[in-house]
Amino acid sequence: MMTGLAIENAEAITLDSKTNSYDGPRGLFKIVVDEFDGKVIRSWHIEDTYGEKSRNLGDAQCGSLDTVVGEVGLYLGGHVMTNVYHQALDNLN
Amino acid sequence: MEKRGLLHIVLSVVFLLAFTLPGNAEENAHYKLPSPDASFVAPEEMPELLAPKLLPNRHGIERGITEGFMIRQSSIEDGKIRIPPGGLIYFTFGGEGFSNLNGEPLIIAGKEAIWLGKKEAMAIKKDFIVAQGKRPVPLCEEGTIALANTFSMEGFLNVRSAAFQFVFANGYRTWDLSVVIPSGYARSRNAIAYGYLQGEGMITPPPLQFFGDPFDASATFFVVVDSVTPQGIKIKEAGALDMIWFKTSYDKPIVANDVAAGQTLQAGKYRVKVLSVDPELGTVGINLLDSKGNVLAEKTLGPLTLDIYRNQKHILEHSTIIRPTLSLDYENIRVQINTKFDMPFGPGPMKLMNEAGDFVPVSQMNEVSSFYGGKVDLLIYEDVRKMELRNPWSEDTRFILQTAYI
Repeated sequence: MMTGLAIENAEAITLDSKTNSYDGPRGLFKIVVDEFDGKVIRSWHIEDTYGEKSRNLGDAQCGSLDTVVGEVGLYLGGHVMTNVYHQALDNLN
Repeated sequence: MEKRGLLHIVLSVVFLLAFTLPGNAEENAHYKLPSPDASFVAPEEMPELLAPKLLPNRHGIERGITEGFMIRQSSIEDGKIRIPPGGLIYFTFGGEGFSNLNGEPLIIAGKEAIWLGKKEAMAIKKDFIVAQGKRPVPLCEEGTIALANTFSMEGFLNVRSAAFQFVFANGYRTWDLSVVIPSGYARSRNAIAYGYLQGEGMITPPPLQFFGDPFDASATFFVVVDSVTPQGIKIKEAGALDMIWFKTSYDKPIVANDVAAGQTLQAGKYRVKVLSVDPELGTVGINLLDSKGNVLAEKTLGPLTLDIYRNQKHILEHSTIIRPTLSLDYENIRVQINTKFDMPFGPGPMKLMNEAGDFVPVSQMNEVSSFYGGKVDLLIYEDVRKMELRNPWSEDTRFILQTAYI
């Protein structure tokens, strides 16, 4: 039995204050870096083809674009769950 | 008891460290997960994209479909943000786990699709070392399922021990952690548990019971360990399932029910001629013709009988021998017997659809409704797409297709 399918970028993606967005597979969503000074990503967000936007995912300490978007972690086992979801809940508190 | 408790704690701490310490920085993000302080976007925040959707299969049974993505191993280098290859990874999970035959729904990057089949194979690698703290070793080409050394300990109670895990390129660590030692002088956890239940009690010397066999296997993987060396776990041979390609269609099939022998069906530039229908054997002979009437392909589909449904309910779906017998594939056209079953996802009876269109347990059926009345129910897909994993995706070549979960 196989469940699921994944689609990943073949080449490295480079973003800076000039090239500040990247389209996901077939333009389903877009990563947009709003405020980046070369060291910290103060502001970035996700947009999708349906016109939805995420909140600002960056902050004054944000040093990467690492993110889990949606419930994919449920399918990827405990490591995403414990690492990311736990931390995300802590960040909310 | 105290010693064992302490051992458990020590092992737990070591395992935790082994899991959370980053491996060596490699060019791509394969086999890794997002950083622990990654942000999280809940489905409620972008429901159109992220909320599970319900789509029906060919028989109207709805399956939940979830899309989402993650970004892993991204970093800031020289004033630029860098996402390594494989760092942006999109996932979709739909009805494909239920069947390759019933037109199960899937959404691929926002576009509704029908899951039509897949090719799986064992990725096998022989005579190699899986080192601790190093990148997992793919069993086949880059991006296939890999073995990761998750734990090594030298000289603990005079036994050099180590553990490993299978890990998918998307970062999912899967299947039992297996513990190995240099020789076969050990017992698996199951064997210890079994012996304990049989009143055997614990075997002395007790510490050795914590180490497992030098081999492990299940329906989907096997590992034979040679020894644990200071360099890492030396593996004689390891194999695990991975997917080679899958087939899908964005268009719904032509449903041609109750087709009698001698009839010809039009499908775009092709024609499908039904030569024979045998409800007893559950077979149908077909010819695929081009517009001039030349025979392009010929095949007898089936057999598809009640016996197969009754006795081989999982084999029907999973067998790479039975499954292809039910369809004729020629370039991007597929002619398939209209299978009408609802395979249980776990225990429970297989249900078949009767001629009235209701699903009933297979025990209550006395015929395969796909062959009701001496006529056959066929499906014709006109635009089947074969998608090769670990290859550029034809619909957006910036991306490659990858396994999500076997």
